[in-house]
Amino acid sequence: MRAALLALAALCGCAVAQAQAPAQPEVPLALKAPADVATVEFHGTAIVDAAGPGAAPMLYPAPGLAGFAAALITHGLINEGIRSKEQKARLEANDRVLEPYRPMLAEYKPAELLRAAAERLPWHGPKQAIEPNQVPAAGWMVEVRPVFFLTQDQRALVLENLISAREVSSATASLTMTVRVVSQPRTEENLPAAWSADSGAAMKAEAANLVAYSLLLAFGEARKQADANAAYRTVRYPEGGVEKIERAQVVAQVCNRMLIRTLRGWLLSVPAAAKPDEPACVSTLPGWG
Amino acid sequence: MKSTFTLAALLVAAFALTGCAINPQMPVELTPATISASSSQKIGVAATPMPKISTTYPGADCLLCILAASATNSGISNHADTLGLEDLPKLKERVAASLQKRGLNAIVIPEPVDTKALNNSTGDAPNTPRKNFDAVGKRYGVDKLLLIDVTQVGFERTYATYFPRGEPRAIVRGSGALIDLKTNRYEWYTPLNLTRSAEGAWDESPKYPGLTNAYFQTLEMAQDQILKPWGK
Repeated sequence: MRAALLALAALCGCAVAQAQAPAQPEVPLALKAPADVATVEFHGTAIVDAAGPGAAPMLYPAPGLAGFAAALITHGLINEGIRSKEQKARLEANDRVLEPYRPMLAEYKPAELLRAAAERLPWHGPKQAIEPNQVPAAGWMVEVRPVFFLTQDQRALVLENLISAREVSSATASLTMTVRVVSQPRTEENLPAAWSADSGAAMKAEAANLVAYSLLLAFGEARKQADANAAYRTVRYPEGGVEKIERAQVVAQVCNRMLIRTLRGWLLSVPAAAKPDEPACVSTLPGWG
Repeated sequence: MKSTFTLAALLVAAFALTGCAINPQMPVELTPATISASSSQKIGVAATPMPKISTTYPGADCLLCILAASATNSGISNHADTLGLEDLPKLKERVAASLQKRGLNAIVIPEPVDTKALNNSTGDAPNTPRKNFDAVGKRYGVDKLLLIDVTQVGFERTYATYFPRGEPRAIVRGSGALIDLKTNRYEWYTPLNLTRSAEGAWDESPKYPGLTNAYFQTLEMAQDQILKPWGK
C-alpha cells in the first residue's frame, strides 16, 4: 500500500515527490464521479450558528406508569418532528444564496467538471474523465465526490471533496481522504455578475481548480504518515469576507496558502498571508492559488 | 370588603413578581472619553478564578431528567474532562499588554479575584456592580479594575424534561468590565454569552471532533470580545 502511495505521489505534480523520485513511465489517470449524482452539488455555507429549536413543552397529564410512558414516547416523537423540520428550513435558508446561479448549476454536469479538473492537474501520463459505469483498462482510477459551498457573501467557494484512489489492478483503495479547499476571496463589486458571466465560466473554472488542487494535496500528503504527536493549535483564515477559526495541525505554509489537518483528520487548504521574507514562490497548481 | 381583598391580592402578586426579578447588567460601551480619562490612572487587570470545564443540561429540571441526560451525554462530558482552557487563563496578560500599547498605565493582578469574598454594593444606581471592589483597589494600589469574569466553559445541551431540544453546543459565559473604584461604577461592561454548534455531525464519539472544534472556536471568540475594544 505504501509503495502504491509513493508511486501516486511521484506521478502527480507534487514538487517534493518529483525531486526525489526517479524518472517514471507514463501512467494513465481516470477521474470518476459517483453514479448517483446528476449535477454538480452546490450549497450555501451556514448562515448562523445552528441553535437548539423550540421544543414542544410536555403538557399532557399522565396518570399512572403506562400513561407516563405513552406521554414520553409521544413527546419524543413530536420533538423529533420539530427538529427535523427546523433543520430542513435552515438548510433551505443557507441555499438561498445560490438563487442567481440556479439555471447555470442545473446544467452543470460532473463530467464537465472532471474534464476541466483533469486538464489542470499536473500528471505524468494521459488523463481522462470517465463515466460512472466505466472502468479504465490500466493506471490509476480516482473516484471523487465533490460538494461545493458558496459563502453567504458570495466572495469564495469552498470545496469538500471525498477522494478515493486505487490502481486499476487492485481491488482496494490505496487512498481515501476528505480534502477541503477554500478559494481566495474575490474582490469584484458585482459578484453575481462576475461568477455568472459567460454561462458561469468563472465559477466553473474555480470549481475545476479546487478539484484539481484537492487531488494534488491528497496525492502529496497521503504518502506522509500523519504525525499523531504534532501539536494542535487554533488557526484563523478567511472564508470569503468572514474570518473562520479551526483547531488543527499545521502541515505546511507555502506561498499564500496554508495546509492544515483538522480534528476530523481532513486536509484543509486555506488562503494565508504570504510570509514577508518568502522568496517568489511557484504554486503547486500552475496559474492558481 | 371583597374589592379590598381583591386589591390586596393583586398588590401581593405584583410585589412577588417584581421583587423576584433581578435586572441583568446591560452592556456599557467603552468611550474615547473613558480611555482619555484613564490615561492618568493606574488600571489593574485581573480575572476571577477560571471555572472547571463542564457539561450542563438546562431544562432537565427533575432529578430523573438530570440522571437521564447525564447518562445519555456521558461521552461528551468524559471528553470535556480531557480538554484545556488554552490561552484563556493568559487573557489578562494580553489585555494588559493592549492597554500598555495604548499608553495606559496597566498592571496585571496575578491572584484571581474572588468576588464571593467581597462586600455587596450599596445603592442601586445604574451600572453599579453587585459587589464593591474598593478592597481590591486598596490592596493593589489601582484606581480602576479591568475584571475578566468567566463563569462557564464547556458544553451545554438544552432539554425539555427528558428530551433534548437540540444538539449539544460549546459555550463560554461571563463578562468583561472596567470598574472605576472611586465610584464603584462600570465604565465598560460586555457580557459574554458565546455558543457554537459543531459544523456537520456532532455525535462522533469518543473524541467529538466537530464539537471540540466548536469549543476552541468559542474560546477564541470570547477572547476576541474582551480584547477588541482595547485594540487587539
